[in-house]
This record gives sequence, structure tokens and C-alpha cells, in this order.
Amino acid sequence: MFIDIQFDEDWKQDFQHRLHQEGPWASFELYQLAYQAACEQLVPSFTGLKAPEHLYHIQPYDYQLETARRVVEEMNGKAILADEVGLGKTIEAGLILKEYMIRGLVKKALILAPASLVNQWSRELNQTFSIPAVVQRKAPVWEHADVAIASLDTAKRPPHNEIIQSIDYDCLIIDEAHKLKNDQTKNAAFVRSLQKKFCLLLTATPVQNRIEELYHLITILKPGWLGTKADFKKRYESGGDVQRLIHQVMIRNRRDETPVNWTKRNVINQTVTLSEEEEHLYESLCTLAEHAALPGFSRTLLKRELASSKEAAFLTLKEMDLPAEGLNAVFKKMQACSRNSKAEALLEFVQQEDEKVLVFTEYRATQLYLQWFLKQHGIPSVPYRGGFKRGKKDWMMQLFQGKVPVMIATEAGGEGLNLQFCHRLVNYDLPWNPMRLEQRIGRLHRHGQTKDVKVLNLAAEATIEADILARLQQKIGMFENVIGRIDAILGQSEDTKEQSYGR
Amino acid sequence: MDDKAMLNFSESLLTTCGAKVIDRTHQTITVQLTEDLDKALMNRPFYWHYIEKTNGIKQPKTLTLTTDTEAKADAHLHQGSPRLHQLFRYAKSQGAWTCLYDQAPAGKQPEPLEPWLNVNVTISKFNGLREDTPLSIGLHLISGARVEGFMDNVTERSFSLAPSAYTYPVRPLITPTAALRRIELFITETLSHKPKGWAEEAIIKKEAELSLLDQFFQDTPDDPTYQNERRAIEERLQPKISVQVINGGLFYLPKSILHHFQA
Repeated sequence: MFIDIQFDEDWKQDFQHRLHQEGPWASFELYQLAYQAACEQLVPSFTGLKAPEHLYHIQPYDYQLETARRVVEEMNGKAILADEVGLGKTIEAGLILKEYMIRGLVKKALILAPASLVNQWSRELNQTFSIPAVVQRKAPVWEHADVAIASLDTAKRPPHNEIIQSIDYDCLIIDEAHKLKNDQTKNAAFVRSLQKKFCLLLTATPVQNRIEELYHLITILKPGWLGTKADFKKRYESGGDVQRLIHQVMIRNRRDETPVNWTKRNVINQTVTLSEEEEHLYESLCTLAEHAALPGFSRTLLKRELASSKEAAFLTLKEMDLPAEGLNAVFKKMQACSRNSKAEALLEFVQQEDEKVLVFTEYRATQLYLQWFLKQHGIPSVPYRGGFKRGKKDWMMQLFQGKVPVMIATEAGGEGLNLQFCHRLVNYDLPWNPMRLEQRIGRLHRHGQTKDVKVLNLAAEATIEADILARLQQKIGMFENVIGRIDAILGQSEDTKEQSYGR
Repeated sequence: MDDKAMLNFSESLLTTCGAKVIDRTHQTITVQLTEDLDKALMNRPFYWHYIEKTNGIKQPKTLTLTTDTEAKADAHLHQGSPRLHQLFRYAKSQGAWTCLYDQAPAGKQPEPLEPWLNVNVTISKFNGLREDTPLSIGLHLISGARVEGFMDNVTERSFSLAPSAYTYPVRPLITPTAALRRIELFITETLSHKPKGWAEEAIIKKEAELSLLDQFFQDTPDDPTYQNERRAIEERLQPKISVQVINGGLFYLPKSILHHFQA
């Protein structure tokens, strides 16, 4: 068998040049020191990790070291790191990157992370791993920085995109990779166009709604690994060995398998019975939507909003072109409706727990309403949402950590929040995607949480929220079937017990 | 390298290159850098540019290195410390070529010193991962005799850049260029007899990955992703060996050393 051997020509040429010129030569001391330095930097074996001894500030957990070892030795540096939230996927990715850099196999690396996490990556790589990583801001740094960090949004825009596409990256790391779940998006197309030898996709939620999402992620990682999409679907639906294939390119550590002491997570689903007037209101809205022949999407939206608060539904209804007669009937019922049973349930929970409570809602109007409603009962609260500036977000966080007992956040506020000091969470209304619930819970139930966490999921009885709850259970079932078990997201309330974990 | 070795290495390197020790405890060292060291290590090109343009007074910095995790210093030395690796790189760049004469104690008669070519190399095998083996070879430029472990054998001796008064160098019969060729041939020959399991495994992996890829893109062979991925797999898994010279040079040694090596 022929193996190509490359000899170092540069040294030879320089040596001959120096022989000719009779110097300059190194002293024996320097010559020995050079030899010693080189021996110190050797990679003594194909196997084993050299990165851990290079770390100064942290001692990684065994499961993190084992993950890094498997990715490097067994998976050829292409993997989905799918640990549950809070287990330190960044540390694992840093270990792998560092290992390849020490081994001289990676020089140019690109890290794509959500904008809110870019600085955190930079700190982690520079401080913990002594990897000189540069954050892309305005002027392009791609060519002179060997390790660059950027948000996907920055990277895919000109002039950056073309520069990045022209660079032969040794390693590509994508954080929160579930954002690439849809292969039709610009993000996914951009990532597919990048050149990469090694690739790490980080996500706690490789499947959110549909099994195809996982297919798309793996196809970015290793095109062809799962065959064509049609092959894969057929195989999955006929109960083929997709798990085995998936677990060869994915590692998922679970909290309860780690030596870290995790506090418990208690999840309760509370089905709230609506008052008579609320029921009438809901029915009248359903009738209106039916008569006006609204598209399914709008219909669902309105029902979900109304199940949240009439304020949320009102704002949408106002914008819609609907027959005045039906609309007025609904508005009249809205005026007549003086109660919000879910808000009352929330109030009861807040009063009874006598602890800090983080409330998530899907709608801004509900967010405002809940603030007002709680205030009526003498409970102050702070809002939190994605649109806030960094400084305002920090200020809201500080207030909540201080004396304000309730924070009401919208979905976009969820990312990057660290609220270990809080132990109570209420999902005031439910998203379709169970992994978004997991991400929300992860804001509290993460590294550094010292107490058990209680989660309350509210659902209005006999409304669309009951359907959502059932769908959530189904999706969790699929996730567990393909990816592996998952910590409780939904509780086991009366109505959902039968379907829960049903596969 | 343990803490002590790291500190000793740094001290030897810096003082060999002309730095003056200002303060030294068992965990910390502070040195006054020379201009060259400052330029090489401290990363302040604008300062030096400015000083040289304005003919200002050159003030090289001091550098404090420590292995004490609590202490304040310019750099904490540990296995992965960027400063330590910078010093490694600097040492390698400064100590790559040499021509040295043995400093045997003066005898009664002038003693001939015979030329050797020493080359220290790192042999790196790549198969998606990497493994290095160091090799220190000496070739006697009179007889063509070859020894391994050359550095270990000369490390206790003392050398200088010019022959001492009671010695005289003998001219090589084999030119350094020819000797280098012989060493390369020897390495190629040796490697061809070593086990190749590491490379065969990589080839199998590579073929498997390529075949999955080919199938996947069989209907769209012009997809740029296909070409990118194909090249990446080739680069990652095609086994290869690289031989990097760490350093090398001519050593003039007493005649007796040949027997010593062969013993």
C-alpha cells in the first residue's frame, strides 16, 4: 500500500543557504530548547484526548470528556451534540475544537451562534480554552482571524457571506442548530454551502415538530447518511433501524445520567374550567370564524388568542376584515365578559406559592393584561420580551431578582435568560412545539438551580388548548422514540393521562 | 512538563536570548526583555514603529511569568497557556539551524573533530486523526555511519560556535546535502516496514463515506455541496505521513564518539 510521505523542504533550503553563508547558527542551548519545545508539542497517540491537560480554569465532567473522545475517535469529528439543556454543550464543543487544534488538524474554524450567545462563546473559547476566537462585528475579520464567531444573521448577509463561502473551513460549529430544521430556509441553504471538514451541530432539541427536521440536520452534517428523504421517511414509518443510524452521529447526555446533582422538576397540568360568559364568548368567536370562512390558520390563531385573553383576540379581530354584525356580537360578549378564569388560576398560584414566579405567555396583549390584572391584586410584576434593549433586559432581570415577585415574559425573551434564583414557572398558554416549553423550563431548571422546580401548565377547558395539549403529548412521544427520553415537560392531568407517553 | 519544568524552560530561553532576570522565586520569574525579545513576544508593533520613527528612547518591557494560580503576573504558565506556546514557537524559530564544535578539555595534542549531520524530525501520521513520533538521527560525514537517539547522546556535552584552540575540524567526505538525502531514504525505508493498519482503516472509512455521498448525489452531480463534501472527505481521511524537521545542523565531535555511539 502506498502512503504519500511529504518531507519538509523549507528547512532544507534554509539550511543550505546558511551553510553557504556560514551562519547564522543557533547556540547549543537554543538548539536544545527548540528540540525540547517540539517534543513537548508532539501528539503521542492517535487515541486519547490531549485537550483536557491544556485547560487551566475548569475540570470538565467525565461525560463531557467521554463525549469529546467519542466525537474525535469514533465519529470522525462530525456529530450532533444533543445534550439536555444545561449540561454544557459549549464545553464539549470547546474540548473537541481544542483537541483538533492541538493535533494540528484544525486551523480555520467558524462558530455560528444566535446573536445573544456570541459574546458568551467568545468568553468561553478565549478564557476557558485559550482559543483566540474573534467576534465578527462590522468590518470583516474572516481572513485574518483563524477562529471566528458570528451570528447566522450576520454571516449570511453580504459582504460576509461570499467571503465565508470562499474559505475552506476545517471546523464548523453551529449552536442552537435546530434553527436549521427547515431545509427550505436561507439559513439552511447558506450553511449547506459552507466548506467544512469537521462539523458540530449543537441543539438540545434536534426534533421539535416533525421527524424530517432531524433528517435535515443530519443531512447538513453528513449528506447521504440517511439516504434520500423519501427513503428515510419510509424506513422510519415502517419501524426500521433509524435509531441506530441516528445515534451513530448524535450524542445525547441526560441530566439524570450525570453526576451533577439536579434538583427535581414537578410539572402540573391544570385544566381551567371557564365561566359561563367566557364559554359563550368562545363559542361566538368560533361561530364567527366559521361563518366568515376564515382560513384555518387565522381561525386557530384567534382561538388560541382568546383562550389566552380577550385582549389578545381583540387586537387581531380589529385588524381583520370581518362582517360587522358577527364582529359586534363578539365584541359585545367581550364587554360583558368580566372574568378571565386562567388569570384567576394564575393569581391563585402566585398567592399560594409565595415565591418568585416566571410566567410565559405567547402574546404581548396578554402580557400587558396580566401585569394589569396582578397589579389589581397588589402584585407587582416586570415584563420581559425579545424587543427590549440589552440594558433594559438586564434591568428587568435585576428587578425580578430583587423585590418584584413576578416576571411575565413572551417567547422571544426565553433565549439566553438565566434565572436559577427562581423556582416556579407558569406556562400561561401553550405553544405547539414541546421543545419551546423545554427551552422555557431550561431557563430555571439549569446548572446552578438549588431547589426543586415547579412548573404549572395552564389550559382552558374545552378550547383549542385541549387539542394543543394532546398534540404536545404526541410530539413528545415521537421525540422519545427517536432521540431518547426527555425530562418532564407536561404533567399528567386528568384529561391527558391516557395519552401521555402513549406510543 | 510540570510547573518547575515550564518555569525552567522559560527562564533558560529568555536568558539565553539576552533577557536579564530581575526577580526569581520558585514559582515566579520576572525578566527585563531585550529589544528583540520585546518585538518577538509582546505584540506591540505600533510602539516600536513609533519609537523608531521618532528616534525615541527604546524601553523594552519586563515580563513576569508564574505558575502560582493566585499570583498577579503577565502570564500564568500551564500546559495550554498561550504564552508558553508562544515561547515554544519562539524557541523553535530561533533554534532551527546550527553548526557546533565540541568543547573537549584541552589535551596535550591538537585533536581532530569529525563532522556529523544531526537532523531531528517529527514524523506525523494522518488518518483523520494524528500521531507523532520524534526521531533524532545523526550521520557521520566521514564513514556514513548512522545513529538514532543522537540528541540524547550529546546532551551532556558542551559545544560552542567556534572550534577551541586545541581542536581542528576535519572536512566532511559526505556533503550535508547528500547526507540529508540518505536520511530521507532511511526514513522512507523504515516507514515502509512499519505496520499500516492505521492507514488501511482510514481508507475503508473513506471509501464508505464516499460511496454514501456518491449515492446521495447521483442525480445531482453538479451540486457544489457534493464537490465540497467529496474534497473534505478526501482531505480528512486520505492517509498521509509528513516529516517535519524540528532542527538540524553540523556537529563536530571527537573521533572517539563513534565508538561510544556504537557501544
